[in-house]
Amino acid sequence: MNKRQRNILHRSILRGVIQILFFLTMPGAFVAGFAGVKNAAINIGQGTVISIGGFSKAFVGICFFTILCGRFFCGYACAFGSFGDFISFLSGVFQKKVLGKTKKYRIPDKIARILQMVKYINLVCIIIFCASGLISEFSGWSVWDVFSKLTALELPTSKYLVGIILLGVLIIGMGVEERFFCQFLCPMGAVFSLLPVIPWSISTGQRNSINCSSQCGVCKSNCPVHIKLEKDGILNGECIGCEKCISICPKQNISHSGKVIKVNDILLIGLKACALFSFGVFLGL
Amino acid sequence: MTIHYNFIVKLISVMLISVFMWKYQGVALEREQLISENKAKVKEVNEYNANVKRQISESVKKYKDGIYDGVATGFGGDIAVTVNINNDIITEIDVIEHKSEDPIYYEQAVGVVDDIIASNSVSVDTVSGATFSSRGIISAVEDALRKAEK
Repeated sequence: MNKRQRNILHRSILRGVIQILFFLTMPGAFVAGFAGVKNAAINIGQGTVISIGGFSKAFVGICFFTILCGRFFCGYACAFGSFGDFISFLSGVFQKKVLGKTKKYRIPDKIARILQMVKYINLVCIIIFCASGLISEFSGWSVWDVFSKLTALELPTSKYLVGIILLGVLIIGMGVEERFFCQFLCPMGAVFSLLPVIPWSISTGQRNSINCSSQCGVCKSNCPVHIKLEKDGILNGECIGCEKCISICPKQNISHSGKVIKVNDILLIGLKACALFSFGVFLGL
Repeated sequence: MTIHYNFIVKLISVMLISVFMWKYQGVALEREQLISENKAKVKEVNEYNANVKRQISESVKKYKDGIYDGVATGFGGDIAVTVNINNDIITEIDVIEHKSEDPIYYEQAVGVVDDIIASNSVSVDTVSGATFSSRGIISAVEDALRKAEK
């Protein structure tokens, strides 16, 4: 195993460890954050004062963190995302051992990018339902609520029948395409992708394509969210900060090191994890 | 230096949304303030109205509520009573002084108290055989009622 392969392995292990850590300590973080959005929508719909509680603070805090550091939350801290990565990993093993595929199946880039628009529709619908008060009709649909109950080691009641079925469909989707929910359906992801992430190297990294071989494209084929890496670079709102592109590039053309600062990528991941974790503990997540 | 249009557009949008939320919150807080002030005013007016109604019903009554003393002459001396009046109803009569009456006559006469309360009126028959004592009690109650008149 050469240095590069070892680096890829180390990064995968680090990512796995951080994901497990956040999954065990604050699996409800994404629900709390998005609840801030729903709360504001409900209040505005009723014309009442927006109640500034823990949810609102969690939402604002995570958005602020994302603006500074990119969608690190999605790539490393979101329990639902981590769960999806795990399903995808199992699916990869299955595809290799049982189906004998050499490459894991991916939805074609063009189709994936169109499907990624659906999460914005999802976000708008949820906000409208909250503002109009109709959201209570759909209270049994929330896959997040079902997932939260399961992570709290509770069985969801029959009220969540639709949610349970939808979660089942999602799990199948996650097996087919990595980060199926995150790219196509997640309303919190929709919010994140609309945030003005500061375009410095610390957030999602930068790509220096001068050194690229014309036939390579390894970064693109490994990106779980189908970013046009040659065009937007990693400043595309879809980037979930998983850093697969950074670790896999044979020439290390993508990194967090900017023109001015040289940054140890692994240290940066650790720092972001600590910052987010402290914030979560502070909020009582 | 590359101009990150994407970033600028998103930044301006977020700032606009933040301004909108801030303004909304201000308006909502004002509205909540006005609503609670309004509710306080309504409560005040309702209390005032209830008070006026109470005063009107008070003024329509013939007698003021309260406990009144009355005294009259019985068979040979004074009989003193206290009378409780509430909403023009005699609720209680206590004979507090009757030493001038013979106990035998008084025991018979005091039944007139129940008659007065039952009929809410002093136009009751005297007890035969204890005319003067019962007449004394009735007169004492009348005296108390006179004091209760407005």
